[in-house]
Amino acid sequence: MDKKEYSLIEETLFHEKLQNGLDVYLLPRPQMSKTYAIFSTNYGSIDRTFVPIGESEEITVPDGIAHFLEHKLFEKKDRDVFADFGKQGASANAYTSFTKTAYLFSATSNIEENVETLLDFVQDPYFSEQSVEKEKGIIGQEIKMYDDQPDWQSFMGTLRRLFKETPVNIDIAGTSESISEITNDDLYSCYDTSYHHENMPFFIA
Amino acid sequence: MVINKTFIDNEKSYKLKNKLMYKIGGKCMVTIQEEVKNFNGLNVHFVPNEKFKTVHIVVKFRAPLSRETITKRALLPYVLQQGPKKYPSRKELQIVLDDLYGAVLSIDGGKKGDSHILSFRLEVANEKFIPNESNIMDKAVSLLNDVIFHPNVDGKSFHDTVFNREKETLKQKIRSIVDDKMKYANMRLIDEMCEGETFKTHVSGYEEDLTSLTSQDLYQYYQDLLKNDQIDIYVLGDVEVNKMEEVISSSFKREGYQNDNKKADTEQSTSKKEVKEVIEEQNIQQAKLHIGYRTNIRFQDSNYAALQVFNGVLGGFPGSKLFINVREKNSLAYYASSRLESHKGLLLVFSGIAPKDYKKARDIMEEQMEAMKNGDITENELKETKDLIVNSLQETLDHPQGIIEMLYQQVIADTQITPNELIENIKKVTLEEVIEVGKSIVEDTVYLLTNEGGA
Repeated sequence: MDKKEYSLIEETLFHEKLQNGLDVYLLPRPQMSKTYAIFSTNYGSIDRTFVPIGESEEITVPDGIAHFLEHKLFEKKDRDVFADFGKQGASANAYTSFTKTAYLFSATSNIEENVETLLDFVQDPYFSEQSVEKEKGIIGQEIKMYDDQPDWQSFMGTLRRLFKETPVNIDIAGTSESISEITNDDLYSCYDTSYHHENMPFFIA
Repeated sequence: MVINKTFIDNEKSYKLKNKLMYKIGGKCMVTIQEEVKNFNGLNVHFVPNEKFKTVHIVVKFRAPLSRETITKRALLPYVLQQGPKKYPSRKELQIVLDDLYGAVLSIDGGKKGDSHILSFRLEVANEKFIPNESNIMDKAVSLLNDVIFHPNVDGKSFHDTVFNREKETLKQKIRSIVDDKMKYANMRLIDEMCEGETFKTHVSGYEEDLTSLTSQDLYQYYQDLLKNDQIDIYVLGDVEVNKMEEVISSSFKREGYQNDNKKADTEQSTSKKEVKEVIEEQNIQQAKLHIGYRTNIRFQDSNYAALQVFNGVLGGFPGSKLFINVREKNSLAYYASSRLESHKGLLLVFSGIAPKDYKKARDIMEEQMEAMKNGDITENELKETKDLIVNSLQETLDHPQGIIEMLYQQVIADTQITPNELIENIKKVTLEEVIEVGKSIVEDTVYLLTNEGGA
């Protein structure tokens, strides 16, 4: 395990690349009550055209799918992962940017159990037609909420003008129309292609 | 380079702001120490804490909330932030802050119950971590003293250029509230719900009062404020109390303070006989449905912990009744939560929905409250909610400003409950107490902001 010391501010950062390719970073903060852990993948909203793993033809997936996938990873066949974190006293969340998708929790107790829950749920996708349909209503309202926010609209408007040819000009959440096209199969092919250990740093403080 | 705006799911920043929480359990029990000293007309709270690499000094001015003074109190942070007499421009002030290794000064106002609080906050690096530095604290305290007690005045008024420019800034701020739909809907709900009550006073002030305000008026009012407001100073960080006491007492001196103890005792709420429904239309995509309830329980009351648990089971977390039923089961919304106005005794439920779903969403939201009142709460829901509230309180104690705000709650409520007691109280709450609390909660006002045409 590598150790990097920052003596002036009295902090030490530990890092190790595991055999399976996962980069693990540990920052001990013994004075603090709260533990914060984040598990992310270098896959975001701009990654819409790619060759799916195990295939040879390039595909373009519906806009907003990385963010949709982020929502759906929390739902399993028999349960909602939010509830698992809740039972362990942790507060969980996730976000999607143009280039990353991140899953995280913060907690002051049951740290090992919560780390396990985080690592497990992100590596165990379960998508069903029914739950994909249900999410369209929820994300549809998330998009409408941003539609009423002037700062977000001016930010996206600027990007649309600046970058005419690249997918950074597309809203991270997509549109009501684009997300309506998302299917189970799309989610699995995005997941299988982008969620790999080599592509997913894990950081805990 | 990551573009910094991301989609944060499942928790509203709105809710985060209103969360006030603590710490226990797990590995170590952290006890927050607070030592209060009174000198020079000030209440000084020392909070020694080794967790942080910066020192926080917060000076709080408290006065009764009122329409008469609110616009002035809303404008003061803008004017004072432009620099004191000694550093009479934003640039000169910034240079001094930069010389203090990038210290951060902010001034803001807010209401808690029927009190208005003006806070000056200075965060500065602890000299302990900087080689060959030993007088950062002296300089920081002296700067804060300049900003508060020696403003940039021209005779008996603030400088006209600064005053006029900042007046315009505040005007724009007042006008922009309508662009933040959640904030606007919350403000309008309180307007309607608390009509005729002090609590409805808008913290950003009123444009019509701002127009007629002069620089002399504002300066005159500021002199009154310095003399008459209750002042509480918090010093938090890894510092020696004795040394800081010396630094502060030699710098902060308030003249002519009369402690007439005129506390703003928050008015008791009066419930309406029937639920009031208000529907307003704007050109918007998403409707905002906000429902206001009177809890008749405030921070200082013995059943406040049970009320916090009640609120948590109803709508505080992603496992709560509102989230599960409005969002997960019926797919009607992205957010559906509830929060407390602890010093006023209100519980507010809110969600962003499609305009056409108003009736359906309102029914489901009201059903969740009914379920709570009927005691339809499982032992699991109770336990998880208590754990999550405790977790959240503990996390708050990892933030310097969180600790200070938590301690200041006691001053506002004129009561003594330490952070650890608050946590212990949550852990002790029983199902019966939660159900009992439900009996005093009364629905008051339903406010809907919807699109033009209403569907």
